[in-house]
Amino acid sequence: MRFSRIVFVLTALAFLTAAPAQATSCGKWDRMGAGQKSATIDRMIESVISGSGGRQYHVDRGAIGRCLWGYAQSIEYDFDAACADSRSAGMQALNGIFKEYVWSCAG
Amino acid sequence: MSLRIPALLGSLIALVACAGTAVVEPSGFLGDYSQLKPGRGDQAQLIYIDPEADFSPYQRVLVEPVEVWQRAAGSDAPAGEFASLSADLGSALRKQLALEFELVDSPGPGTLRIRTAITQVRMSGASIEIEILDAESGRRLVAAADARGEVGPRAGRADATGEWTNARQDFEFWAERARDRLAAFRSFDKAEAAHDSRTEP
Repeated sequence: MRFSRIVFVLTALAFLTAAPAQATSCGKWDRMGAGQKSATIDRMIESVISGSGGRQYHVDRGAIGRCLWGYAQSIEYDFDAACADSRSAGMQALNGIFKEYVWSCAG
Repeated sequence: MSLRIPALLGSLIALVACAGTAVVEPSGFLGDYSQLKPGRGDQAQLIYIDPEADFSPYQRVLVEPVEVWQRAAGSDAPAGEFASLSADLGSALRKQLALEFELVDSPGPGTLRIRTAITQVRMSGASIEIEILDAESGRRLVAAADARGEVGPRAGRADATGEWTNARQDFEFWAERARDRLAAFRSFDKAEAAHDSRTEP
């Protein structure tokens, strides 16, 4: 019992430290360091190319990923700018900016 | 604010026209153009994406018959060609979207409604406007206006076959892009929701 509890705690800790903080709002975004911001954008790009939910998926995910990673710095600047404009902006606002880049890269 | 939008669109049109690239001239098909803004990079020339839209539930698409909303000036194609051209665009959209979504004929849950209009067909290419809505609520999720090809002296030599091949190639291009973008949005929203459920208590 005690061993299983330790394993659970260690697993949870490992998971939490491996998962980058999410850009749920400008409040969280503004508190992130540079490394966390990059990790968050990397995770968002991975979300696009992970391919969940498609029927057959004929989309060239590699190309979309390369394109988005090429924009990563620009995405980060745009997030910073959006949060500077409105510190109360939420996840949707940042996701909306990100989707504009996806729209640009997909296809 | 209402005065700024036509001025912005006018500036965009003038800017792009100088470069010889075909420009977007709002046809009226989309109704409200106030949400649209110039796209970046390879985006449509004018674009709106609802920042709060969640594409993860959408597994079906309802492709409306393609409409023709011609500008008074600018189309090279005769009126008689538009039935065939709009059928081709509709066919391209259905073919490509069927690779990622179930095609349906009526609104329902988890269904995107795709409205499209051809607004110009030139020798060098075409212009379209597209609106993607939630089929049940009618909420606008995406709206875009785009033009491909060139205008000016070079444009007239671009399609000597008379088959409007450039326009038809543009239709295939837009259909593939619509498929890719909607699939990418769905993938992103699904993965983000899964991530949130893991990290939010």
